[in-house]
Formats: sequence, C-alpha cells, structure tokens
Amino acid sequence: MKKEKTYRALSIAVLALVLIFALIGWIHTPYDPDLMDGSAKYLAPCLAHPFGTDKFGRDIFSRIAVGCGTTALISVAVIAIGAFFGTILGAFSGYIGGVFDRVMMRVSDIIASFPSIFLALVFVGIIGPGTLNLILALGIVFIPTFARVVRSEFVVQKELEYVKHARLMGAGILRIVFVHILPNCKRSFLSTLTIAFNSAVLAEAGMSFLGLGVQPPTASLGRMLSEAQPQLMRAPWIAIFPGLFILFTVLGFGLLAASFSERR
Amino acid sequence: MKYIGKKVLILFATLLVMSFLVFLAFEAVKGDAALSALGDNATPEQIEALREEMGLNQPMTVRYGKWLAGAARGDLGMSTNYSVSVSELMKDKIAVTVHLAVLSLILILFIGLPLGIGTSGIWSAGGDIAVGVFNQIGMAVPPFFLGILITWIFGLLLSWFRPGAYVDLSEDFGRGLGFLVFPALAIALPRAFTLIKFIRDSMAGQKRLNYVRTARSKGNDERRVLYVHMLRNALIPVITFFAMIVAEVFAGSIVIEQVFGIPGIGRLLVVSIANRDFPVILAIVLYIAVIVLTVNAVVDILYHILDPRVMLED
Amino acid sequence: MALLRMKDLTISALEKQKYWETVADNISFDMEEGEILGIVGESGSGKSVTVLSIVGLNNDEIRVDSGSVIFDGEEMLDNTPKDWLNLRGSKISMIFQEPMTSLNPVIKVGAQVEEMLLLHEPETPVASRRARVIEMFDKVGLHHPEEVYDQYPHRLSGGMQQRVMIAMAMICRPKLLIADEPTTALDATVQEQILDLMRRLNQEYGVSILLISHDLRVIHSICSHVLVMKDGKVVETGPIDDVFYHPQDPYTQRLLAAIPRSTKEDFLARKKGLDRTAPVQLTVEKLKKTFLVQGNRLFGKKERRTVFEDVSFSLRKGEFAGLLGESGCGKSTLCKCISGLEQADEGEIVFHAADQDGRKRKISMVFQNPYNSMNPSKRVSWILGEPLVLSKVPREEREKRVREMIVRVGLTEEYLDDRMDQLSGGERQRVAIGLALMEEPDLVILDEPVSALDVTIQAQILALLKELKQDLGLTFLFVSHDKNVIYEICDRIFQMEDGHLHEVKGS
Repeated sequence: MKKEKTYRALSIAVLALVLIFALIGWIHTPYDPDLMDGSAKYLAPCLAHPFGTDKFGRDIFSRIAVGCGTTALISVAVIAIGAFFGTILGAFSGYIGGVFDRVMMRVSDIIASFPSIFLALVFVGIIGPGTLNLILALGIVFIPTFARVVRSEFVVQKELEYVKHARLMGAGILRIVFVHILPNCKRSFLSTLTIAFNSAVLAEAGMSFLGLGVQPPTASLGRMLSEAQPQLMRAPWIAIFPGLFILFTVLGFGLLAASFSERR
Repeated sequence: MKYIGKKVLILFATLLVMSFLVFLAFEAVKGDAALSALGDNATPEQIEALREEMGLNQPMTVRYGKWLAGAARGDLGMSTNYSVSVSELMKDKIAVTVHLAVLSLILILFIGLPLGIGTSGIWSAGGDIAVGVFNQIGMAVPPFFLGILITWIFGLLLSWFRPGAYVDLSEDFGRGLGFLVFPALAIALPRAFTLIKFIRDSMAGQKRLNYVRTARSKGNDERRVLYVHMLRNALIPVITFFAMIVAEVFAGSIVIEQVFGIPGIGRLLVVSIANRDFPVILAIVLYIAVIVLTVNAVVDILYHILDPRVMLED
Repeated sequence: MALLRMKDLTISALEKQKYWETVADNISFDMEEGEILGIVGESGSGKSVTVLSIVGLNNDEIRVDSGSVIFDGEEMLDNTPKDWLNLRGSKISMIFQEPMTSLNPVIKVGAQVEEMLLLHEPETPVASRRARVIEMFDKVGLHHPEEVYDQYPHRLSGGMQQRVMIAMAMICRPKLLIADEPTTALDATVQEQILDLMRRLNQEYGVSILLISHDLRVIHSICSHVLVMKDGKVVETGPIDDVFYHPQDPYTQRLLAAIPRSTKEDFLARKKGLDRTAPVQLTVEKLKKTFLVQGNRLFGKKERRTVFEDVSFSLRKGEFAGLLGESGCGKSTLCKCISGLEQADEGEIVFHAADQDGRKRKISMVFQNPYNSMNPSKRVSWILGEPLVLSKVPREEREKRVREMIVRVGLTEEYLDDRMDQLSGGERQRVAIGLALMEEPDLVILDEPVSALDVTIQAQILALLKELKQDLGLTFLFVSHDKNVIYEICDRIFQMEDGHLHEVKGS
C-alpha cells in the first residue's frame, strides 16, 4: 500500500516533468530548436541556455522539449497500434481457443522471446528507416505483447462461471467478448500498457540513436545523444541532458508499472 | 528424454519457418536485383540474361531451397555492398560479439544474483521501497546512455581505457579484456538490476504461500525459511528469465558496439540496414534468431528438469 | 494445571491498511493435557487468529492487544523469537486446511518431515533419521512408506498429503497439535479417515489437539469440549454433548438448526405425497460423455476416458430433483451437457415443451462459487437485466421485472446499484438465483449452490429455494455432494457413482 503510493507519486512527478517539456515542445520553445547560431557554440549551461548549446549553437533545452514531444507522439502511436490489434487478437484467440489459438500463441511466444529493439531493427531492415516506418515497425512489435496478456486473461475468464451464464442466456460472441469479459481485463491491460510504454520509449530512443528512427532535422532524444558523442570531452552536457530525459521517461513508466503490480 | 527430442524438433521447425518468412519478406522488398545491378541503361535482353544467370526466374521456393542448401554449407551469398561473401564478412565479427555477450552475461550474473538474493531478505517497508526505487532507476538507464557516460568518465576523464581503440582478445587478452569490460558493463548493469528485481519479486511472491507458514510452524528461523525453503522455489522461474536476458544482451550489443566502436556483427547489422544490404541483414537476423531460440529451448528443458512439478514425460 | 490457558486475549487486525479493528475479544479458555478441544465458528468469527496467536504465527496485520496465553507454564506472549523457534514443531505443531499448498512443492516429502529432526533433535544420527520418518509414515497410515519418502507432494492425493503433514507434525512428539480446518478440503470418506487418525494419535501419544472447524459435526465426532465463536467473541463453551444437544446461546441454536439433518426416511416420506401427473418436461436418454486424455508418449495416441455412460432419466414439470455424487464423479459434466455448455457423445436430451413449440430451450444455472459466477465489475441491476436485454424486452418493463426479482430473492431494491464485488457470498448467491429465474426457464440447474457458504447462510438459501419451489412450479435439478442437503430439499434423488446414474427409491 505504502509502496504502491510511493511508486505512484514518484512516477507521476517524473512523468509530469517529461510531459511539461513535451508541452513546451509542442506549444512554444524559448529558441527555435533548429536555429544555428555561430556565436553561441558549445555554451555550457547558463541562465540564457539552461542546458547549454551544441556545436551548431542550437539551444539544447528547446531541442529536448521538441524531442520529448516527438518521443511522446511516437510512443502513443506505437502503443495505440499494438494495444488495438493486440487486444482484439488476444481476446478472440483466448476465447475461441483451439488450433487458431495454438498457432497464434506459438507465433507470439517466438516474437516475444526477442527484444523489441531487435525486432524493430528487422522490420526497419525490411521496410527501410524513417519515422513512419519506425512507428509501424514498433507498433507491430507490440501487438504480441498485448495479445499475450489479453489472451491469458481471457483463457482464465472464459472458464469462470459468469461467462457460462452469459452463454446460457444466449449472448453472442461479440457481446461476451467485449461487454462481459473485456472490462474485467482492465487491470492487467493497464499494467501492460505502462510496461509497453517503457520499452517503446527505450526502443524508439535506441533506434534513433542508431540513426534508423527519427530522421534529421526533427529533434529526437536518441539522435541528440549519438550526435553528442564525438564532442563528449569538450561539451558533455550535450549528451547528458538528452540521456537524462530518456532515463526519466523510462523511469516514470517503470515506476508506474511497479505501482500497478503492487496493487492487489 | 522424449520431451527433449520434441523440443529440438520444434526448434528446428521454428527456425525453418522463420528463415523462410524473413527470406520471403526480403525478397519481396528488395526489388529486382538484376535491374539494380545493371542500372537503368541496360537493354531488356541484358537484364533477362542476368536474371537467368542469377536464378531470379526460378520460383521463390526454389530460390529459398538453394539459399538454405547454401546456408547449410556455410555459404550465405554475397554482400551487395562490399562484394565479399557474407560468411567471410561475418566470420571475425561473430567472435567479437560473442566475447562481448559472454562477458556481459557473466557480469549480469555476478552482480545480479548475489545482490538479488542478498536484498530479498529486506522486507521492512522503508528498505523495500528504497531498494525498489533504486532498482527502477538502474533498469531505466538506457544502455547507450550508460555507454556514453562510461566513455566520458572512465575513458575521457579517468583514462582507464582509450575510447574507440578496440583491441581484440586474441591479439592481447589483457588489454582486450581491459577494453571490453567497459562496453560489457554498459550492457550488463541495467539487466543486472532487472535480474535483482525479478529475484526479489519472485521471493516476495513466495512469501504469501502456505508452505512458508508451514516452514515457520516447524520452527525454522527466518534465514532457513528464506534460503532453504523459499529460495529454490523462487529461483526456478529465474531460469526462464535467463533466456530473456540472453536475448537482451545480444540486442544490447547491437547498440553498444556502435557506442564503443567495436567491430562486431551488431555494427555490421546497423551499417547493412542503412545500406539495405539484404543478404547480410538476412544472415545476421537469422544468426541472432538461432542463438535466442536455442537458448530458449535449452532453458525450457532445464526448467523441466529442475521443477519436479512439471513432468518430463508430457 | 492446564496445558494451555488463554485469558482475556484481545486481538486486532489492520483493516484496509488504515484502522485497527478488534477481531478477537476477551477470549478465555483452559485446555487440559490429552484433551481434544474444538473451536467452531463461521468465517470471520476470529477462530483462526486466536489460535495462530498461540504459536505467534499471525502476520504483521494482526496484533495482540492484551491478555495472556500460558502454555506448559510459560507465558507465550513474552516469547522472544528464539523461544518460538524452540517451541514450534517440538512442543506445538500445526496442520492446515490445504495440505497441497502447505507442503513445499520442490522438496521431497520425506526430506520435509526429516527437517523436523534436523531442527529439533539434531542429536539423532543422520543414518537413522530416514528410518524414523518411515516409521512415522507407517504410523499415520501411509502405505508403502519407503516409496512415499521419495515423492514430491504433487504426486500424492489430498488425503496422503494430509497424512504427511500429520506425520511431520507428530514426529517430534509435540504436546499440542493445532489443526486448522484439517479436513475441509477433503472428500467425505477421506475426511473421516483423517479424523480417525487424529483420534488414534491422541490416544496413543496423549497429544492434546486443538481442532478448528466451521462444521459442528466434525467437532462433535472427535472433540470432548467445544468453544463456539461468533464475531470475535466466545458465545458458548462446554462439554461437546451439552453444547451439541442442549445449546444455550441463541447463535449456537441457530448454528445447530442450520445443519441439514434430514434422513432418507424424511425424503421418502415426502416423496410419497408427490403429485405424479404433471407433464414430462425433460427426458435424457442413454447419455454418454468421454474426454480426451493426452497419452504420455511423444506423438502418442490420445486416449478417451469415459466420464459417464448410459445415463437416462426424465423429470416432470415442477419437480425438484437432486443429483448426488462425490467430487469428480461427473455430475457437473452431466449438468453442462444438459444445459448445452458441453456436447454429449451419445444419447439424447429432449425438452418437451420447448422442442414442441420449436422455440429456444431456456435453461439457467446457479454455480457453486458465488465469487466468480457473477461478473465482478457489473452492477446488480445490469446483471439481472442482461437476459431481458438479450431477448429485447423494452427498458421500462425490464426495470420493473428486475425490481420485482430482487425482492423475490429476499433482497431490497437498494442492492440494485451495488457492484457484485461489494456483496457477501450469500447475497451474491441470491442474485445468482434471481438471474436464473429471470426468464421463466424450462429447467433451473443448481450446481452445488450452497457448498461454498457458511452453514447459517446455507440454511437461508435452502429456505429461499424451498419457497421458490412452492411458489413458481419450475423444474429444478439440484446438484450436491452433501446427502443431508439433498434429503432436506429434493423430491426425487438420482445418485451418480462410477459414471452411472440410478434413482434413489424406497426399499
């Protein structure tokens, strides 16, 4: 109880920070994130540039704000694809059972045994790099994540007697799946959602870091990190701040997931 | 033992199906290799001749069969980018990545297991939360960010190693290890925290079970309850978790090789994806798939051997 | 001097992580050496926390506020952790309700029992420990004790597991054995064997036994004294026969009255007065059901095992029939086949009224476990309204009928806005019955509807069913493992044994 509350409070604090940055990135940044200023190269964090500037004199604060926004949008899109298709597939697979279910689960088990960033690499290897391709690739990667959780809920729930009641009353399969059973999967769905967000953020940042995700000139946290690496000695802040923000986002969702798993 | 036979059969079948699907996907997107080889100025006859020569006019299944037969002999085709054979290209790089992965796994186990078991006795509310939050932070550090931090602190500030100056283990074992331990640490630390959390969760899950109450009612002290009764139950699921960690380590090395400039297959994969060098991508993807799925199968078998509740005969 | 003297023990439990609530209030009793004392009470009566405090095994959310527990001349509440370790297992040992989960799943049962010697009699030479365990296994009636020694718990039946638990508890010759609902999870015949064993051990070793049960019949069969608890208080105490035959406290009287005591004679007498002219409602003809069992070979053939065969019977409209059988005899599968939830392999099921009119058969069921037979996230009104929504009854009519039904099953309209998980077991079962009656079904199947309930609640639900049977004229099939319950309420009785069904008739 205390653990759940502490985790939740911490996660909300951390996620709120990231969200504020994302909002700044969407609405208005103090500097144009892509504006190069030859007179302001490699500025260490100061009042005018709280997180410093990079080798082109771009304001890191503004770029991080935009990067947070990009990351948020991509993760939401990815999770939306994964959750929507995964839930539907998992629900029917679990409820119907039989050969369809066995094949489905064999496939998702195999897919789930690979880390999401590796699968994203495979998909991007097939369809090519780019933001939209990354969203599509990661979205597909997260379908089995949701399908497995929803399916295992359905396998348990369909044996419960309230579902037998519904069948005896003559409720149709769509009504049983969506009206009777699905609302009872809310809790495990929510915790999967946070875990999926956690790994989606990490995978997006990783792919962009490798140069296979978000393409320039769009600012993204992962890409900022890889661009900062050559100047580590001279200006470590260019790397540290974007890295910290990726860490915060992942940490926020990790803590949220932990708080859900404490609840019982 | 029948169970093991069944597992191995399923493993081979899965690998076959997977390789076929990936092959199919790549064939579908890579377009006409003959056309791209000759350029736009080639006459239709020239293209047709080359297509015939390259075997592109044969049906997909035949081409897959040929590729598979080649792969079985160690011939994975030619890299379109480097005009060397794929196996030649991968030969040295595989050893590099395997060294990195094995070192990372060793670090994960040596850090994660003792800390996980050691801290699983901490059940006071405050201590539990503190360890939990610390764990979450450890798990949330992206490996590439950790790699950059390590490069900055140990490479640039402290000069414990020279960033970018990779030394192969076969050349100079001592210096090679002195370099490799840093990227390995970048891969291992977040996963070690995951392992700690997994062990602690597993132990906490045991705490509520009835047999623990029985153990106490027998007059066991808390240490015996924890380490004689609960630990074995709690560690059985950790074996399955190990399969996941192996997969994560290989995925992590793809990114970390990039950060530290290590000439492994991860780096080759990233370059090949950027250059759309399909034969190389296909080979590396399947190589990693073989490792991950084999480890999974082995872990499954181990699990069945170690958990008396699961009978080997089924 | 008493072996165990509890005086004014008051215990609180942390509720909802917020406030402490008294769960045992001024409990006092004495227990002599060699005595078998029973504590009886329904769920929430505080019997388990009271007893667990004797061995200090309550969790952090339970605290002892005041009082004293003196065992063998020592004050237990002053014990240091080290005192507890010396006491548990050697002087006081315990057995629990679910032997399966109470044994460590990954340690062989022999080693688990042997651990007691390691902990409390380390001077026993290692070589002779195994022999001691096997001797004890023999004493508690385990056949082939040598083989049992090397088994993991899941390989043993529930009865054998409980015998292993008893062997473990008794091997160090404790003075007191605490048995917390030791037979509740077991079948009736096994239950009696375990009680016999406990009685024998009491005579042979002189061990005192503190037996907790919700079932007065279990207590009556082996205890000499009894303590009746309700809501954390002792309401009555005394020699078992006095309490059992001449209860003084109103609650004890209710508890006793709630035990179904009808005999076969009562049933036969009622059966005689029955009207046998009503039209036949349901005919079941030569029904057979088999299950696929996975063979234990790689790619081996699957085997078919027969659950039941040659099952034939018919019910007249308005009859209240009982189906009696032990767990696993196939009675639940038969119900599923009749209701259509599963397909029988052979045979025929005919619902005369429905099949003649050509309309859909209406069969409804009430299940055993009230905690998962109703959708936990829905409100009562939604649940009761659902069958009417499905048959497209207009909203106003629907609401009216839902309101009528909730009153009909003995609840009030205020319950309609409650979610299922806010209701108690008895209340849920009432809603379940209401739901089953919502559409005037051709047949209502009640699958162990009272088995999961406390005795007094069980009596209330049985009373409700009797009332409905009189008023509605519907056809019921009531399934139970408890013959007294069946004799109490049914007009006709079918018994299922070894996959065959026969009707219970007067000789």
